[in-house]
Amino acid sequence: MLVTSRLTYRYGEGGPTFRFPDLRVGVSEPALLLGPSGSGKSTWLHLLAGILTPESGSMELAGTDYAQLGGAALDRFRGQQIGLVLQRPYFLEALTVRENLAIARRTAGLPADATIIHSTLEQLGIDRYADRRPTQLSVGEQQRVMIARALVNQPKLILADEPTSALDKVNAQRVSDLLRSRAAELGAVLVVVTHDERLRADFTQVVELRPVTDQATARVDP
Amino acid sequence: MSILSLALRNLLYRPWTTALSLLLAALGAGLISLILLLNWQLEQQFDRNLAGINLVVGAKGSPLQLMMSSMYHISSPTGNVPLDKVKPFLNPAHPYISLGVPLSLGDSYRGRRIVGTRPTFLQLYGAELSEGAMWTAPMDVVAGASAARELGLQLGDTFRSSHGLVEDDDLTHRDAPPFRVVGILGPTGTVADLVLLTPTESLWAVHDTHDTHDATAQHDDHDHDTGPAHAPAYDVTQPLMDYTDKIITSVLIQFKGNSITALNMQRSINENTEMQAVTPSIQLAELYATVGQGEQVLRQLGYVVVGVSILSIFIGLYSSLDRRRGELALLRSLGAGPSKLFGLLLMEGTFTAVAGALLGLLLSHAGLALIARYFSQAYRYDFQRLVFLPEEYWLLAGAVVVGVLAASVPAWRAARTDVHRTLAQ
Repeated sequence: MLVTSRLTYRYGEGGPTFRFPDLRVGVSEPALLLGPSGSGKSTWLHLLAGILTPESGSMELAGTDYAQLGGAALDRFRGQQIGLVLQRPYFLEALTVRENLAIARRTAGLPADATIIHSTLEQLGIDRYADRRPTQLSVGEQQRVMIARALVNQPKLILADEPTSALDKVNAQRVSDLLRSRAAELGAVLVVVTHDERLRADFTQVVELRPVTDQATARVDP
Repeated sequence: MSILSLALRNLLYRPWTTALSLLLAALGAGLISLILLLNWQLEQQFDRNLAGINLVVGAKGSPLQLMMSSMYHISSPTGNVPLDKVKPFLNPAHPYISLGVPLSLGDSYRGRRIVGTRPTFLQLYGAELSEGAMWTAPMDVVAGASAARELGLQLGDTFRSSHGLVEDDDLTHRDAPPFRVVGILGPTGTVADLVLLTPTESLWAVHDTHDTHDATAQHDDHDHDTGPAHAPAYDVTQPLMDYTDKIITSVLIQFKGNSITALNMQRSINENTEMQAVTPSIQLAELYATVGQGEQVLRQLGYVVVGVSILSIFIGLYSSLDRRRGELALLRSLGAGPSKLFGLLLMEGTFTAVAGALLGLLLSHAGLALIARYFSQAYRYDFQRLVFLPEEYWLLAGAVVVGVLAASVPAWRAARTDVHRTLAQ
């Protein structure tokens, strides 16, 4: 269960403060955070991912309020408990698909378990690309590698940033299905941040963010 | 897959950039290492052959040439001196001289110098016979260890000498009596290994025959074989001091007392006689100073190349940061702390510098092997090829510092990667 409460974030000294709606997301009820560009959804996602530190509020996952963590403890928590599917296809280009997953485990302080890596690749149907470099794969295959990388540490929270924005309807549906089914199998909370309205029907919990000038959801204090 | 192996893989993924930085580091380290090795080798060779010699007395000319020809058997002698003039230095009862070793130079066999001398030569270099016996007659030869090995000389072998140090059939003393190998020395690691020793009288015998022949044949062509000649009757056990009207090339002198005596004697010889006296330690110091200037220039060049390699590593890493920003942000999102990103870039820089230094050391030792082969062929000197100097360990340690220096700024920037801004783009 992911529970956030009174989460705020301020951009620099004297900058605008974002206030985010409270969230309560269970394993069986994946959440879709919908919003157009400029609505603060990337900021919200990066707060949930432990990349940004909130100015105030709490974020509780598996009994830990990780809003209170910092430094190495937060890095370790992020690596082990949170799987992030990035919007852009960022990879460690010098490494193969298998090695990209292995480094994800090692960076989080977990052993590079070959069995877990192989089964993760197999579940996503990309085990045959294990020894290729991600840059040698198609966009759809790269998308699956990013999902595999987010799952390989068997996290408690899976965050996906615009996972379907570059895909057609069929492939977008496939990715949505894949994320929801793998999250359910792992027993992980799934939160997808997107502006893709096509995904609305797949999620039981939908939170809409409006542009920061509209103070209904993501509000800006002067 | 650790950060360490990721650093290596990143370097291999950018082979040309890595190769350029590595090559520059290799050139810098290799140049410095080669200078260190050559310096060490030359000093070893020079110092080993000092053999406690305080003074070299010979014909006037270049002091360096006199020392190099008489002690290191490299260049031609400055000329000859009348035996009468150097007799005092050969006197065993001399109050200041403990050992005076006469040298007669000028002839060779297949590029190996034939040294006319007395058995005290062996005492000077601590040489001992490994086969055969010392000479008992003119034209008997005791061969140095490496000279015998490389010329394939065995006891009983005979050969004719040539004039000078060049292998040239036209310069062979065909009318002179042949030399005969009667003994072979054990190895000493000194010039005694390189030369063919014979009594002083042998060289007189060669030239006596030559002069007699010239006088009768009225020509001075070396290429004349008039059949076997016989060694003139000299008694090699007779002290050289007993001879008159003979010449030798030089005398190597060890003093009984302190160096003040040597300095005074040197000054006296140089100011009051037709000869010159050279103090090897002073000559060597001057030689090192001269060689040292060139060495300094090359060493400075090495440092400049090392500086360029630092710059190359720095530019390679720094310019890659923009391209790698997403990759670095990704690592942070996967749980890597800023210190890991700092370490990653630092390792990449250090690996390049250390690998370059290792390659440089490899190249410098290969270069030394080539130079050693040249020295062996040209001067018969053998360099130690498999030597690793303590300074070379310092070079490797220096490479770590170079890598850290070059990578620290890019590493600092990498550690400060703005993950949110990068991933939100």
